[in-house]
Amino acid sequence: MTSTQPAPLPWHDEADLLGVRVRVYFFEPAALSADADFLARHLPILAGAAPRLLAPEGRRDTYRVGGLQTQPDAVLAHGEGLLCLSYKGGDGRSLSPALWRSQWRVDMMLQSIASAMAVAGQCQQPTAALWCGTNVLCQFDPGVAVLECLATHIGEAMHYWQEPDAVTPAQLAAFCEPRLRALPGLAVSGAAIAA
Amino acid sequence: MIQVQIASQVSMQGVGGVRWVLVEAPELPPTPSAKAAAPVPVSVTVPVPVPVAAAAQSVSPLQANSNTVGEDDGWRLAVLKLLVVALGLGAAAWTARLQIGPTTLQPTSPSVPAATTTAPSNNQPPVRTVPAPRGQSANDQPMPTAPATPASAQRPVALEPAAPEPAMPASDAAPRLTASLP
Repeated sequence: MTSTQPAPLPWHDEADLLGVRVRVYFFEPAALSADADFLARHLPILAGAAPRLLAPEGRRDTYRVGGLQTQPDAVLAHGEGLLCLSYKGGDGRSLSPALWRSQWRVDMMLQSIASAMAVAGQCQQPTAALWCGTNVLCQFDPGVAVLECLATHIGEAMHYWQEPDAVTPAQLAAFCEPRLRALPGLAVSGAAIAA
Repeated sequence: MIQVQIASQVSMQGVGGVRWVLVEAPELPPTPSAKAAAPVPVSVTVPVPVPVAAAAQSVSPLQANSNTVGEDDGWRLAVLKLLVVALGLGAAAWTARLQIGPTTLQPTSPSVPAATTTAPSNNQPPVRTVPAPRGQSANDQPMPTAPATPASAQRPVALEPAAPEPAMPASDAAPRLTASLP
């Protein structure tokens, strides 16, 4: 009896940033043709795979878990789980493969994770958090501390932002980022990140 | 609590390495979709007045139970209040009986002196008497003490001995209103 381990994706680099294992894949946006499909433009590392968009491109459905509500840019079915992809945020800068750690934006990372949590909670399927920038695709593997911080501070974030119904991932990320930076174990891994 | 599963790995075949966390589901006001799905109240759809029996049946068991529980609590509270008041009155009467004795009906006619009844000596109001000389009687009834009044006010001034009082310290030299009285 043999068990086949899934082939890892060819990520270019990875690092632990504020309790999150970040895997990055750099690509050249100019190399993409104008008529490239959605997967080629936003998920070039999964070019050979066949993830399927749950909604037409451009339509943003609402997902909700508890008091966290999000409208991710795209949700794809991939194997037995989902991919929660964000690609409209960010400042449009290109990240340098050598300096991407210092150019990293923690708020975007936490927002992507929070969006994936909302999608996973509503769909009750394992969901991976992905973010696509101008020239980089990132996959986030949050640690237990980050997941617990985000999950347990939804109510406080609602109170802080005076949102009686629900908070957005941006609000939750802004509320949780200083708390994550204050954690002793995560402060070392996040010391290289610009605040 | 809502279970949230975050995949830690992505491969060409799918996602893997699931980490999960629990998210608390807060109690939220009903959303518009929930309002649309909720049944419309009977009073809106049926304009005719609902009979009392039907209205009673339309009340949910939980609501009816809460109503009866509220009425029972009110009755219990009233009974408890009456019981506490009765116990207090009874305790007061028992204490008075121990302190004073059995109460008897006293004639209200002014010709019959009240002192001739069976009232004990403790019931009599304290009478100010002239202070007896020292050593005359050890069983004399002590003077009632009134801590708020000055000592000079308790003394019968007219029968005060003629001996001069000792000089008071300067700090206790309070104004003596009776000092100039003969």
